[in-house]
Amino acid sequence: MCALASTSNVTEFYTPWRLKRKDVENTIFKIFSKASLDAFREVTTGKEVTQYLRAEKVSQCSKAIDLLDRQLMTTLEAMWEEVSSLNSGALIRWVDLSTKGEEESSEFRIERKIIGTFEGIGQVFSIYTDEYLQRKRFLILTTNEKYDDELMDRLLVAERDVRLQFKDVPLSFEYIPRLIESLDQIFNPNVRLIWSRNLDGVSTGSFTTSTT
Amino acid sequence: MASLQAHLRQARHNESLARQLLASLEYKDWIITVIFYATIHYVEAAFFQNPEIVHTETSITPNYPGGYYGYRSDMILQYHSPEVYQSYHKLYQQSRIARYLCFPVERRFLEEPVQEYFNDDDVEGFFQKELATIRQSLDF
Repeated sequence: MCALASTSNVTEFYTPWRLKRKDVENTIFKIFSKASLDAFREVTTGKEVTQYLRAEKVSQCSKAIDLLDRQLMTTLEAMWEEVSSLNSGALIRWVDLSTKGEEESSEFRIERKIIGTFEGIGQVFSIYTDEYLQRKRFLILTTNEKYDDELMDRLLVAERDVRLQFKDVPLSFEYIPRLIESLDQIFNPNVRLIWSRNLDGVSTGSFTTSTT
Repeated sequence: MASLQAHLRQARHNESLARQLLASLEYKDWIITVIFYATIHYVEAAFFQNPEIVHTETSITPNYPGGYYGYRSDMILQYHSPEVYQSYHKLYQQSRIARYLCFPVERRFLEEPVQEYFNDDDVEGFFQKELATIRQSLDF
């Protein structure tokens, strides 16, 4: 895997990796994919490895890798829906925790779900969170300047879904239309930005501001 | 603490006022507010019939997260249909904007009156669709 990682295309224009939304997701699955493992197996049967390992030993390792591969793919398949809905920030955070072997906090799990759910609604511009009256509150800023009933329906369906998924956690939601000037800037120090949609449509994630 | 009948009478009383105000649509802010208060009484009447709740005021535990509104929201989520959840929360959210003209997180205020934010169809929809959904779904 290290060998694969070191052959990156240096002529490519630099893009902050945290902004490569889909790329990050694809990369993870590329790393764990069958093709990569097959490539590795091919290398291990080559001269470099068989100088040190007998053919039986290589075959033994190969079987072990197959078993691990199957286990990994089963795990990932079960999580596919969840993982595929992640935005870049949330995904990076998930990978970070996974590689460190840490359990993500329930707070982050909720935020990840909120981001995954609400970023799919085009009029949602940014999402903040704080604690208000002992409830974890989400402030969803939207781009409409006048009341939009259809939008409110979509927001409330999403809200109910999230609340049903985290029944044990007291959550509350507020929807703030474009009646304030800057949608992306709330200066209240007690609220934390967890997601915003940039003008170019690329989202920025929660990892820079998350305290979990 | 009100009885079932008292809640229903108050709900219908508020609904009747909302209907009268809708005739001119001059006071959209009050129409939305009155519709929401009719909704609360229909919801409380439904709670009264649920032995697990009966009264919000007596069932709520001290320091319940979000107070009465938080408790009502949780009970609606737990015991009632998606339609009731949807209509109740829509009216709750919009009545807050109509009443306070502000967003508490930044203490910023609307720069134009609420009459400009909602159009006539929005307000009629709150009455014809959302309040009716609450009433019918709760069998009142």
